[in-house]
Amino acid sequence: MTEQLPIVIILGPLLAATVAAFAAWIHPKASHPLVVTGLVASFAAALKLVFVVAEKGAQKYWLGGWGAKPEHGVVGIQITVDHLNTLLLAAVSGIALLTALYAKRLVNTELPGRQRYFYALFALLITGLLGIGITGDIFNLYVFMEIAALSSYALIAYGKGRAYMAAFNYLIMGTMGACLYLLGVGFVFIKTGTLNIDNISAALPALGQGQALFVGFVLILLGAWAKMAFFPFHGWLPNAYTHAPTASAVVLAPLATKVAVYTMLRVMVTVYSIDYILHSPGIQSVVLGLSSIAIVVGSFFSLTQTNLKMIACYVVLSEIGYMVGGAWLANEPGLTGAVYHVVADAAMTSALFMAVGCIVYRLGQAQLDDLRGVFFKMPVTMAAFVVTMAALIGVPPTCGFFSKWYLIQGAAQSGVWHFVAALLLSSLVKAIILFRIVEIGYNRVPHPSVDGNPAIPRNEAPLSMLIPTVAMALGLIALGLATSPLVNTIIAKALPATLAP
Amino acid sequence: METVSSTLPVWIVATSSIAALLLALLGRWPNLREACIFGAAVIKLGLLLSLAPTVLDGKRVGFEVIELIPNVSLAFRVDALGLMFALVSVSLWIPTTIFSMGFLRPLKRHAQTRFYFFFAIAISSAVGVAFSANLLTLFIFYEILSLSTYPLVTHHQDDDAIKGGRKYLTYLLGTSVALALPAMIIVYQQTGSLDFTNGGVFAEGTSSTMLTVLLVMFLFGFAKAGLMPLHAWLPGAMVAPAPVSALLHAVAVVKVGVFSIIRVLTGVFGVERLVDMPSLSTIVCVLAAFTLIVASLIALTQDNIKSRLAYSTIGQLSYIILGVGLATKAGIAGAALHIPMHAFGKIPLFLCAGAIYQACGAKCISEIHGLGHKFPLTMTAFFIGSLCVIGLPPTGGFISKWYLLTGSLSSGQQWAFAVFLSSSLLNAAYFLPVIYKAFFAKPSDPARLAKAKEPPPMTVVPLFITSAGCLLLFFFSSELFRFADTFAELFVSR
Repeated sequence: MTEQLPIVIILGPLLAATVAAFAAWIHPKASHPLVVTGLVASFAAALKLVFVVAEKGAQKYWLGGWGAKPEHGVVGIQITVDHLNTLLLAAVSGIALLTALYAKRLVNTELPGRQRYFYALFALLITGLLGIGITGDIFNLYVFMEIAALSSYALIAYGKGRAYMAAFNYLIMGTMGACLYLLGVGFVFIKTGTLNIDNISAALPALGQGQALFVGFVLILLGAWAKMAFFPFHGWLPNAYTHAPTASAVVLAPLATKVAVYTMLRVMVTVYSIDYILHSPGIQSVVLGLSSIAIVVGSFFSLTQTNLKMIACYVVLSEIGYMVGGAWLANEPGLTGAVYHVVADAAMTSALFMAVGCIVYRLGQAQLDDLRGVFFKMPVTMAAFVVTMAALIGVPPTCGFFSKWYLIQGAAQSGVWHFVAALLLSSLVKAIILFRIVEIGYNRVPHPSVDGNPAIPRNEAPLSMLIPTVAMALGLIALGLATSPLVNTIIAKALPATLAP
Repeated sequence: METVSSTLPVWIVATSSIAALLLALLGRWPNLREACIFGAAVIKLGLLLSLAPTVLDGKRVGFEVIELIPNVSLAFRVDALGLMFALVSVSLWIPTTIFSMGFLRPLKRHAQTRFYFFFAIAISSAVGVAFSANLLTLFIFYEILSLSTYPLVTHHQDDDAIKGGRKYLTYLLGTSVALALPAMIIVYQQTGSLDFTNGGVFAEGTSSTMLTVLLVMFLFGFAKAGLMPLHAWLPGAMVAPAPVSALLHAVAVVKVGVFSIIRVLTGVFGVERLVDMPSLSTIVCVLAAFTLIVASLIALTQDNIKSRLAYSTIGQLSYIILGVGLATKAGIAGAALHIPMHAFGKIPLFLCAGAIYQACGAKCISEIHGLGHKFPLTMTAFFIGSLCVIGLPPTGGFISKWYLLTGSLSSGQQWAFAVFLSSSLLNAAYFLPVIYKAFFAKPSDPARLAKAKEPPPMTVVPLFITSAGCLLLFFFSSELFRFADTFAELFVSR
């Protein structure tokens, strides 16, 4: 049974997506439970696989058994769950499940009459994202990338007003990114004659430092960066996620960018190798510089914004710099931090967008000035929001503290002090944002005379939204406390053996 | 050195957090709510005292909760210094709570439950810092303390409070994230460990530049200790209600800063290294001596009672840092003793300031001329408290300053001796005129004086308890000295 688990991860949402759109003909409310069921199956399989991988090592699965034997040649399609992606798969499917539960009320109010398309696209998006995470083949990765991208363009364009323009911008950037990626895959295929990641990584060392391989590497990286909105390819993200329907933004912002970061990590760590990166030192310092700029620029833009969704989007942008920088430090703590932060950041941004979504659902808009008294109106939501911001700032014992810990340790080890400074600066900027919101939402309200504030009636978000939000916020603390076992049993084994101290 | 494994430290830290949750639920019934605090304080005090015999035996009580990153756990370890600090904070929590009841209730202050809730969390985290077995655990509780005291500083929710709160967070969160955190990570990266070790964690031959940079980062990173120029948050935090200024900004919060620096100096760098590398201890001593003198001079110029007390606190904190920086047995013991002595001396002063404000709305020294005849009890408590801070017998402050002075002589640093003495003169110069004016000067505002009401008994009783504490500590100082000595014994024998 265990050996069939990997395919369940993508089959769950894929089947749900196909059935959900048509099921609504039979009963208009059928699509939501179907999608939830598919995601439950997917999450259960992914969670089980975390333990299987920790215990037995990587699980490789050949679709239909093709390619399992040498006489099959190159026709087989492989999916792989190993130490590098198992946590990501669990995080993506788990967050998707919680978001699906969370989104129900939002979709009913924001997209009345179009719920079934939303859920079908939602499930398709998750299929694409999980596919990118699980595939063992760089061309299939491109296919899943396009599945995810096309469904996200549609999910964004469902928004009002400037959403069409934002979706169009995203479409241009996303397509360019996918093209660059595909071109890079072409270079690799010409040199190695295979698309299977295992085979490529076996073939590459013998090919040395050829120019074609280098060009392929850079093209793949550029493609991944455009997809993850890494500086200077970040322009599309804030508008796209701000003008998208809240339900779409809640699922896209945490997951889509993180999966693109994973693509980069996969290419760096297993397709190519850390040795390869260390032997082409020119780009390393450039990328580290860009990461620091991404962090600083993202942080400062988030300070200048007055719309809560925009602030959250720029926070996402600065977090991208954390992961790219950590990966390109190319040492043990740096990569540990990057791999850990992919999961931690998915959880943190998900909790952030969920909390913002709750506020938007009740207040209708999310300008900072509208937040007056919001702490009295929605105390539970705001408690979750404060925990989430604390995690983003890096207050121990939340997960954000530990990723920052590893990243700073890695930067200190390599002596990349500008990256340390950028990380600390970004922490402080987020602290300013949090306390600005506390001041507006809590302190600047009519002076309450006794306990509580009867002048502001409580108007908490509905339970179906509140429970996932609180669960996610508590998850940030749980993830932080689980850091040591996660790093010891899984993340440390995802890194190449040559890095071991 | 033997470590006894026991979950007791965890429970001691948790007691006041559990009480906080309980009292949040009991918010509608103020009597029950406050009974809950007293219950927790008494239980906590009892548990702490039950640890005392073991700790005074030279053993330590430890417990490892969970491993956070490889080789570093969330872990507690109680030694003499930690236990003494915890005892002081918790025992003063009781009179401060009595005072809070007398202070907040009659004025029908808003958000009292919130006030008590965050107060209890702050006590929990202060004890957490005291019991930390490694730098990471200490840092975690240090940050929780900063965050949990923010709602107390901004309690009034007016413009001044918001401004003070901003300054508070900027200084405390800013320095700890920008300096202490990277310093800690560099220590971990260099040594692979963050455990407090008596001989220090650094290997022989660690470059002195690196050590110097790390030391400065730690000294300023723990800005709660109020070393100049990162002291301005403390006067700013005086916008908080009086009980907060009393227990948190004269005892728990500021001493957590000093305590963290002591831990770094003794457990991360190691006293021997301070002795071997005089440049390190010189940095500590010079920064502390500068703060000590300058803060006392600034205190002279302050007319607002609470800001004069705040600058006095900044100066007194540096006594402790300077004592440890001297790296002699008497110096370390004196520094450790100064934690309870200054706490007991400063608390009646802040409580008096609160009681005076409550009785007649006076905030400044120029407004309280002649008040001594109206409130003889309050002003007597103020007098005893100032004697303790100045360091005159028969109060506890005399004992700690005695050891600090001996320590400066035995270290051969005569200039430190001079600094201690001249600062004590300055302390007298900024406290005694207050007493003089209260009792002997002509009333500056007779109308206000006539209107003034005697403070309610709930606010006067804690003044008695704490100022009696100052006197008792003089006569029973040997009990406390055993804690300080057990701690100092770990590092130096001369």
